[in-house]
Amino acid sequence: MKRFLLIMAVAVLVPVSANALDLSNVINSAVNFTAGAVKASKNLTPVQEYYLGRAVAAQALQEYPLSSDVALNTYVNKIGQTIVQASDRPETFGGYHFAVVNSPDINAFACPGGFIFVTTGAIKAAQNEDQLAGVIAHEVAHVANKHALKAMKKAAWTGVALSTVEDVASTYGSDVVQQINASFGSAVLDVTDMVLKSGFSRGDEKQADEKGLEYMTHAGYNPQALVDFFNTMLNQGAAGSKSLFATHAATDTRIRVAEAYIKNKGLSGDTAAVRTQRFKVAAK
Amino acid sequence: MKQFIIAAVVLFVAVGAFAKSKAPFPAEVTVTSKEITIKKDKDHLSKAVAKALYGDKLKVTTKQDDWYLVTTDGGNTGWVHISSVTTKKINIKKDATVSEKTVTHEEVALAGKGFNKQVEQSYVSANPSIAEAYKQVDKMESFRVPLAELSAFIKQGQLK
Repeated sequence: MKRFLLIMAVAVLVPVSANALDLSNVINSAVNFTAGAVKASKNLTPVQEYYLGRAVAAQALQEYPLSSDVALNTYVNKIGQTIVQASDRPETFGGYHFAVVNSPDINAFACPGGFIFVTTGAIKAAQNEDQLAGVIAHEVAHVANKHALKAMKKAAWTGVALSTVEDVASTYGSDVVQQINASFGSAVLDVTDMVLKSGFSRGDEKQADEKGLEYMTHAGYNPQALVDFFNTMLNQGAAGSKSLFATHAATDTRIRVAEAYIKNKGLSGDTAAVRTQRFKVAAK
Repeated sequence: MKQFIIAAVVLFVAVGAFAKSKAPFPAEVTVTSKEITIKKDKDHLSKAVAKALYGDKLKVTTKQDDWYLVTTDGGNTGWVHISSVTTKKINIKKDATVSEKTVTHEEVALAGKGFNKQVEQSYVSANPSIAEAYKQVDKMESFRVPLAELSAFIKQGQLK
């Protein structure tokens, strides 16, 4: 139905402007009409989400170098894939991929489509595997719920809107392709800014905490470990301009909300000694 | 007139309820992941019985929890997670330079509308300094944990 509306909208707009061969007017008119509708539905296809995620991940890697510690990367991937299987969106177009990046910042971030990074600082700050799993589960929840796509502003949706309108694309060919390319650049900037700097909304952070607690519990981890990690951060005064909490709701509030969620949902689990032991080996 | 309207509404609701009871799952779904494995059991760690690629259509026999029991064109039957497929139509825009007969699955997968491989290549051309970072993304993406290793990790860690 939405597709029908888009085509109808452009079908009305194109004849008026096409006489003057004024593509920009066509694009602007079409986009003004369609961008809101497309944005409201967060209607990126899995393929588009994947390519956007790759670009944002590349931007992140310009700032944070990949760790060359194969054993540590393997360990983090194993935790990540265990969490993914317990999530409510275990499959994305390109799958989930986890990597450790070298940085003393206590941080982790998630790019669209499933590219997830954890800093060596965050691994060092965690006291056991369950705490690290909690951090990773929080990031998986951001991907599963497509939070980063909300960062895309109007210009970024232009190409998406146009690419759904075949009549315009086939008529204007390379001009539309240029517009899509420009929109891709805008989308990458918007999403990178949210993922690496401005952060998600408080509502999305809360949802990621709650979903993350559920995922880690379903996977067999102790949900209390995430609260313990928050407390450690709070006690160490580790929240800073580049920490996991710089862009998050106030840590003490987050702790209270997480504790209440665990209690209300009846989430529970034990921190198995064998996991803490292997964490110490992997994170040494 | 009023009775007619009431009767029509009742009939509409009844037909809707019947249709729903007869169709608790879609007859067909389309793969939305680049590549998926169709599992023997409803478990991500279960043995793979077949593979399916983006855009492949799978016939659905039943649905249990978050899993569909499907059959491929080749006759293989197994389970796929609902997050790897869609009931919606996927518009796969074929590469205009490639004839339909020679389009590979990969090419079809990469020729989706909007943001796609071609757009990515244009982006890298316009921002050459990011090319090296893209190689790192490729490296990250190519890293896989074998299922057997993941199973052992889960078992050893007393996880699920």
